[in-house]
Amino acid sequence: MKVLDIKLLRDVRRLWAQVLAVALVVGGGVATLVLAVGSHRSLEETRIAYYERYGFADVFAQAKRAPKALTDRIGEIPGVAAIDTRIAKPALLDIPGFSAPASAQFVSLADTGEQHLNRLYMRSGRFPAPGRTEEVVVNEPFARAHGFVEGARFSAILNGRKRELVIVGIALSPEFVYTVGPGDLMPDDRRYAIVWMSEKVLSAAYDLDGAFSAVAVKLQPGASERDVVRRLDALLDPYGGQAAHGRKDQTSHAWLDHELDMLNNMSRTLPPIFLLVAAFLVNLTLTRLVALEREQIGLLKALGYSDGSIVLHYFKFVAFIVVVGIVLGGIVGTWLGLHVTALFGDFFHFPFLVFAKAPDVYLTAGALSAAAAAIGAFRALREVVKLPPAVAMQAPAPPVYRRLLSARIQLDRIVSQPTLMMIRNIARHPVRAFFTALGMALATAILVVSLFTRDSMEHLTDVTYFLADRQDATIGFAEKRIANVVEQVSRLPGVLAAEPFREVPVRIRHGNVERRIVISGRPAAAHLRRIIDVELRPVILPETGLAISGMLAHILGVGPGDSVEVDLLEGARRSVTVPVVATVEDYFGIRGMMEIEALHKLMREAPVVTSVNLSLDENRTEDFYTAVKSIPTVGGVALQRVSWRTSARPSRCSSPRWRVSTRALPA
Amino acid sequence: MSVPVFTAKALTKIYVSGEVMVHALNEVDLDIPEKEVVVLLGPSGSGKTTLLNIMGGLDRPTSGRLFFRDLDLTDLEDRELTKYRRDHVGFVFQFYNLVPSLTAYENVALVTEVAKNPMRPADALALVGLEARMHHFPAQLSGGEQQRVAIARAIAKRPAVLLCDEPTGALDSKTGIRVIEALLGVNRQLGTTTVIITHNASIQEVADRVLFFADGRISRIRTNEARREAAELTW
Amino acid sequence: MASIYTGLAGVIAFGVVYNNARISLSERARELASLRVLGFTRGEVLRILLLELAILTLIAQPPGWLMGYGLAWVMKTNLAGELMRVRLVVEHSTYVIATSVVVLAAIVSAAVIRERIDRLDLVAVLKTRD
Repeated sequence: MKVLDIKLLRDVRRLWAQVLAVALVVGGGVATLVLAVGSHRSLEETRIAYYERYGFADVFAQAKRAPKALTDRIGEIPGVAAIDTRIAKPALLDIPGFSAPASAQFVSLADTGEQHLNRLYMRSGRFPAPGRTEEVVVNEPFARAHGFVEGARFSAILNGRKRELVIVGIALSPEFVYTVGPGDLMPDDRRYAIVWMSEKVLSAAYDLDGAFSAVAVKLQPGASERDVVRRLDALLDPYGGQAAHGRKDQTSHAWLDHELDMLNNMSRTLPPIFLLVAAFLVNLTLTRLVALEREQIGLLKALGYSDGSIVLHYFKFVAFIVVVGIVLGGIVGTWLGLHVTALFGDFFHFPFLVFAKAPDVYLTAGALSAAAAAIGAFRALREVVKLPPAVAMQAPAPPVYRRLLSARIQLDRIVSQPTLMMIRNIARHPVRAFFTALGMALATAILVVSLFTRDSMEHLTDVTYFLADRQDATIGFAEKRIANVVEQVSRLPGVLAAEPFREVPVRIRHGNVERRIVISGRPAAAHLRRIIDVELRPVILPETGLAISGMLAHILGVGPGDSVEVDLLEGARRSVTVPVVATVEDYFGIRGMMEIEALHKLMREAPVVTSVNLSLDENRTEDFYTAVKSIPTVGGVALQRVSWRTSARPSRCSSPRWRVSTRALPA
Repeated sequence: MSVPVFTAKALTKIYVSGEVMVHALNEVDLDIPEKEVVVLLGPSGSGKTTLLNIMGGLDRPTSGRLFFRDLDLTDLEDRELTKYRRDHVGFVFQFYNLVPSLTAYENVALVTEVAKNPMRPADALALVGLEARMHHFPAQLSGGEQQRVAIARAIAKRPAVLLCDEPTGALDSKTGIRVIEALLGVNRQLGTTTVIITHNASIQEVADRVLFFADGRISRIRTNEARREAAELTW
Repeated sequence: MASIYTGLAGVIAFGVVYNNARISLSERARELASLRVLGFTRGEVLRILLLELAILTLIAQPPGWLMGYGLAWVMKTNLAGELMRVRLVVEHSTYVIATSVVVLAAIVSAAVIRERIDRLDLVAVLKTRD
């Protein structure tokens, strides 16, 4: 081994604490990148594999009652690769020992036992046996929330009739990774279930023999989703079809996409900040560390070492530190990445995990750190190496001290001598002091940025539950109801106030940009379910015209005063032009909002509602629960307060969805 | 007479320090013949170290010429100057300047690795009587021993000239004499031209030639007909 | 996830502060040793060094908060999507926590420095250069 290399190893050993400290900074930067990108990629690949292996469909549509014979005609649409027709219905559940009303999405299972699309991953148990009308499969989160295993019983109100059901299997589906009940803002696994049962049984319950109410379509590669959607709409229209949509508007997919998007955005935002800050700090530190070697550099020059071999020597020193950091950061980052992937995988109930390898990430992180370190070393070496050896070997010339203040002010009378030395030292090296302070400021800054999401999320929760959605419960109906139902509901026991709410699915368009959204109608001065803008003021809806989310306005490129085209995807299915009268800077989704009477006029309908928002008497909730379960037309009941409170219990960060979002953001 | 090792012509070095200009060397003319032991004497700031640094290629003159044999050092580029130092010059500094993280042996090897025709590090250490302490680190050696390691390091490349800046300056008289003995021994055995800067007037007795410095000039040159042995010195 | 990132940020912060303190010590070893020779006590010498560390740490905090806020804004803007947007809210407690971590790192570094100063070899430091 070369003597210089021996010197290198001994120097590393002598300075181990500093070497380790610099390596930790490098490692911290590398670890964040490896962790964030690694976990995001793993989850993304897991999702892709999950969708692929279990045949997640591309296009979805609902209808009131479409004849089975239509299946063949759907299959003839160009670009369609596979079809699954099903019956899908919302229903209320009655679970023994659980007083709050729960609801479920019932989905039929082909009795041939052959599922083409959205195939189930059976965690345990089996499919319902033919002829056993009570047997069902439920989704794992629901089973887990209630501690249900095979053999557990509960009942459901299907088409107004109560039925006893028994669980024979527990499953997962790519279609229901994320399950949010109607009217709910976040998943509540105890109160919302996916229940699969025999097609024969379900069709009998809803008088849908020989018919279907939902269809899922798998597209051929390269097929146009838009064309298939249009043709599907045309076919289903006579049978009460609601607008078909792609994955983008499928609830589970959209939320999963959103979570992964957040992870992705974060892996593109925070780790680069960390890595750049770390690189900058390593650069600063190594510049100073190498500058300390001034005398040794002079000596090596005096002994006849060329500038090149001296530079190489210190580069090796720096490279050693950086490599230690990269290896350390790589290992820790990978480990944390696996941990985070498993955490998210568990949260999403993925049946399996795919761990993606990311050699390019290691390379990027490593190269950036190494370059920063090399530049740092080079800056110091350039200064020292150009000095004649005779000068380098001497201590640096005494620095020029200045009187800080005019000679007449005797600073040393005011402050002690050590303090004066300290002040002078800072004043003497203003650049160094500046960079030192900058380094520490950046350390503080990355801590702030890694902590702020917690604050923002808490704020979001506060705004949502205490300012905007102040209702205690929302009763959703399977079909829209005449507005006088509000009167009836308000007479239910425990109800203090009731407010109508009407939702209409639409396509909104401006120029070439189109989005599928829901326009909600509510009283102009709604008291329970309010609209809150970013300034935290309640928004009073104008008597006519449409208010839209600021984000939607941004996407469409419109503002107040502009007009948008709206395809009403319900009722008469007209297309209308509506003026945008306001934009609302809100937090959730992209949506349209109207005064409820204005919406009725737009729909050319008598006043109807799709749901009613309630405020409840806390002492009479049990009575309310009992009463509501007996109303046959109720499709679901959302209990915002209850969901929020119960899910808030395990952690400060409220609900599972908040938790995941909080996790997705690094709160 | 053969070509001198060093020939200086009107050699001048001016330092600018803050607002003052210091004439460290003021038009010095000089010849140093091969194989001699030359002692530079004079008070601090009289220009001895500046001359030594320029002779060793550690620094450049402001004007004038300095030849090593027939090589004009004043014209050399950094790269050539490095090569000159590596091939021809051995340095001994007042504060030894050993690399603290390397053993005595490794400090010598630091030079032999880049030299053209070096001796083995162990042989160089034997020449200064340190073969027994080869594997000690500088911190485990006395000042005199460290300085002898520095001498071994300087001679291991078989340099044409050995330049010593106050080699005994940090040592007591007994160890100082051993160090001078080591230098003379090297000069005797290898014929290395040796230039020694010192404050210590008694060291001039061992020299072939003594240059007295004052105010950046050589004020007087004395040649000794017969050199005394180091053992005869006292101070 | 939050705690993971905060932890890594803490590691980086500590590395920076510690290195800064250690290098300051090396850069000024000679000056500080001279002071010791002149009769300054360890405590006084330590004070010179640590005062500087403390002042720079404190001076760095307000710009650190500002930069943190700026970076948070960048992140918030990047994260805004069709399904959810957040409003940039940074509580005072967040600034306090961030600063506490940095100050804690400074205190731990100071303890290490103190031990180093106790071991400062006066003679060796003064002898090696002149």
